[in-house]
Amino acid sequence: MTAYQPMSPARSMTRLFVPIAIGIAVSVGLGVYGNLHEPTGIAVNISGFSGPLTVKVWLASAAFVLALVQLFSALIMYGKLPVQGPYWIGTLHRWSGRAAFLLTVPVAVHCLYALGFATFDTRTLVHSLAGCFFFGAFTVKMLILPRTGVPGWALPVFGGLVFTALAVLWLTSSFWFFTTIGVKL
Amino acid sequence: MKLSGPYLTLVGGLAVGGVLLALSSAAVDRGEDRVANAAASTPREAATTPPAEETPPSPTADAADTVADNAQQVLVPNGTYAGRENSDKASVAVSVKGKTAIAYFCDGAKVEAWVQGSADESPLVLKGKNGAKLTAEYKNGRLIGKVKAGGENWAFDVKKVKAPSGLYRAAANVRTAKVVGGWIIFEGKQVGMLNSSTTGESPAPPIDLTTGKATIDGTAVQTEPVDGSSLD
Repeated sequence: MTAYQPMSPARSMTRLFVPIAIGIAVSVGLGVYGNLHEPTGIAVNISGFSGPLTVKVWLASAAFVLALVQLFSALIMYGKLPVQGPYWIGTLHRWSGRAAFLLTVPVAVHCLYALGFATFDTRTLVHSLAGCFFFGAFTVKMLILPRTGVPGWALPVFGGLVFTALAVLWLTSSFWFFTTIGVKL
Repeated sequence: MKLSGPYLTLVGGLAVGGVLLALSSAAVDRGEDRVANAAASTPREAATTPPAEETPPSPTADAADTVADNAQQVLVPNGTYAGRENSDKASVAVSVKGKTAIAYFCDGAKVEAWVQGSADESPLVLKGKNGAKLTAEYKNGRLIGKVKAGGENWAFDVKKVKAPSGLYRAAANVRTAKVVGGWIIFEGKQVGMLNSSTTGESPAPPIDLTTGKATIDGTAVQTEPVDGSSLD
């Protein structure tokens, strides 16, 4: 919608302020909650996995795979790849994005509720920061989409930030788990 | 594209998150005792404890625990009781499982003591090296008593805690030293000490609750939750 609109003089950066403000509120809010709430050590679990940790590891990995779908479909939609996108590429992008986001929610709930905002070492600190940032950036991206007069670069920039944040999250958790503990269910 | 699509996505995520948060909260409440016991028997996942079984809630397991408790006429319910001693200079944790109990006392600097003994009597009397001795009585979810360690007497009144709070121990060879570490975790804080065969007593580095490991002198050492059933 916004990507295919003709240029109009009403586009300006000030249209980004409210979405960004809300995104910052989300990020900071999650961080504050994670810090104030006393971690409980347990949260909801799904049977079939060896424990809550592996559930998160695989959910996060599935979300990351979908994020890669996001990246490539976005590149095609913006004409950055020498491929003619099919008519359903936009629909794929939106639905793979929704699925990825929804998969991250149980992971985030467990992380925040059971472990809290962790500062034990660099890995957990980066993960905690990236987690808060990811949800704030995602919120901004969602809020920009239906908003008129937003600069053309805003969507790719925030899409890129969301992808990068998720990549950092995955590297500091699932990737670390697979390389330290092993690939297992 | 519907204008409402992105908003629906956000609201959808919030709704899923809210439901899971509510379920988690319920799981924590319901799983309190079972988690403390379950945490003890799967050391590798000490911090991210085994499932509190959302669906179904495993009524048979709960019933079995209660029956076992009644059959043994255990005087102190299984679990770990931890907190500060009355003068707030040190921490104490007592883990009870069935008929045995293990307790640890430490001030995070110089004084520490491991004691163990039978939980099948009231008051509990646990003993350790160098004259260390702990006595306690159970009352309404709390253990109230005294401990003698490092030549001094301390009084305490501590309550049952749930994972990741609790008592942890590690015994490993780090470089050329044999190191035994004890940690008491409660209310988000850790107090721990190391006893090294070469350097003696020192404060312990923190445990990473996601892995259960502490980095001692550059080596990652696995800690195990102490459930009260045995000390190596």
